[in-house]
Amino acid sequence: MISISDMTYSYPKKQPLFEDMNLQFEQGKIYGLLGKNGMGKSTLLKLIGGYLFPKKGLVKLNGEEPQNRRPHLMEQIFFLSEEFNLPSLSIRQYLAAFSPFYSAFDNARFYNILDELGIDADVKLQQLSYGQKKKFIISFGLATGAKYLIFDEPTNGLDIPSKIDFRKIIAEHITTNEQIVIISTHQINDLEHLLDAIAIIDEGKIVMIKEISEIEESVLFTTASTLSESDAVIYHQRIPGGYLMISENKDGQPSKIEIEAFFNAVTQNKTFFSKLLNR
Amino acid sequence: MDFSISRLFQLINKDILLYKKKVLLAIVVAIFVTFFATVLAHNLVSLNAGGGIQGLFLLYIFLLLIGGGFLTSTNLGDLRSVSSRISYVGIPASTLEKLVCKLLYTLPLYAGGVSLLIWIFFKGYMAMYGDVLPAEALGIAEKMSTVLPLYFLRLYVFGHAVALFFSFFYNTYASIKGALVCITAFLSFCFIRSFFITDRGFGLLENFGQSTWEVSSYLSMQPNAFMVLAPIFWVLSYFVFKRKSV
Repeated sequence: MISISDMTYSYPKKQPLFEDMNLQFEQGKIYGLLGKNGMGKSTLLKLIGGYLFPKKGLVKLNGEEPQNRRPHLMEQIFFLSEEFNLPSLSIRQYLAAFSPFYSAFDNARFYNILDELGIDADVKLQQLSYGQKKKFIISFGLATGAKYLIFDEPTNGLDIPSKIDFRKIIAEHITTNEQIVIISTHQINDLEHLLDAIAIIDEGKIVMIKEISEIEESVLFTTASTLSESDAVIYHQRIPGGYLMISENKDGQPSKIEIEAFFNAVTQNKTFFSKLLNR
Repeated sequence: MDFSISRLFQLINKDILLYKKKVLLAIVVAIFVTFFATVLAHNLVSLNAGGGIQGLFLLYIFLLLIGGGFLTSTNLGDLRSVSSRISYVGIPASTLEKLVCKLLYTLPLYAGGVSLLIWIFFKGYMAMYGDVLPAEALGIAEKMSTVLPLYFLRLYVFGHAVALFFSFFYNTYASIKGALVCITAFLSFCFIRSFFITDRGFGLLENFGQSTWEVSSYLSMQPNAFMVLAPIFWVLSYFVFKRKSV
């Protein structure tokens, strides 16, 4: 479990980005960390990965603080940053240089994933396109056997087939119930059908963190050609051929989440959704 | 404090794979520069025997110090950009292991390697030209070859420790910023000290010059004090690196 308690963080000479934040990520789930640009998604992920130090409070991964950067915990964390650089090595050389640091690294799985993604294992990393490089790092991360997989904007810069590939390999290769995957994005639709839970961050605060199934139990997503005049509609947005409306799911009707609309609805009606989802 | 020899070897192996081309290039450059220094000094010997030999040693020392400073600051290119810092800090090895790995090849390996190279060139030169060198030059060569290497190795150890600290402290242009901080600190100390030179009756500027000269002379006579300061900078480097944010 990842637990964040009473955490405050600020960049030097800036207002606090997070104040007394409390948050928990449970094992065996894939979380989508959603938020607008500049709301602190990457900072939160870096705090979880031990790359930044909280000014106050604690970040713990199964009871251990990542900021201590102890090797046995670091090999359980794989962090893919939005910007990355790869050395001028071949894929096999990269593996020889970096895989020995991960005691659970699975070579066979790595080459299988590369094969699935259509990447030739004999090429040099610098010969790969940006999307291929990203797929390579994701393959490496999945093969490390890390318990905490943290992906910061993994679908940025990927073309449509690559985004599909990304969803596919994550779904296929997150195999144990001990893993926690946190994927931050502002391109919400890229993660559809992949997430178990959503955490929404806005203005330095976690507005909500809920499982998709719980959201669908409480919130009704409907489409209609005309906009309902009912007071029950909390949020609506135009879609081709009509409207997508969000209302409270009072009767427990079958509901299918529309993540993008839900995100907009929550960030516009934080108090309402906070009350609704925490009943 | 975590320390594992196997992880240290993994870090060395990683650095060899990553930097082997640069290291090979550096070795070729070092051989070329040492050769060039020897040839230059040989030409100077024909003009001024003692001065030529002294020039040879000074060029060797220059090579040791400048090359070491360059190596120490550039091998920490791992910390230059946010993305490279994330990759480097994220490697599952402890801060101590990473520090020792960097220390190993910028200190004993580098200083030992360059000293060996210089020794080979110097002995080769003496074997070829020792018979024809004037007695004055031979005397200087003998004196310098016994005293100077140890003196400057101690200075290198200190300089290296300071360079290492600044490499961790600053992310970019570490060697330039570090040098500026050191020069500023040194001149500030000399400037403050110049206020206390009251018995000479000179102006502030003259006193500052005098103070700078005296402090430089005093420091140059204290190579052992530098050696004592080096571990302090290593420990500081460890803590700066341990708390390095990305």
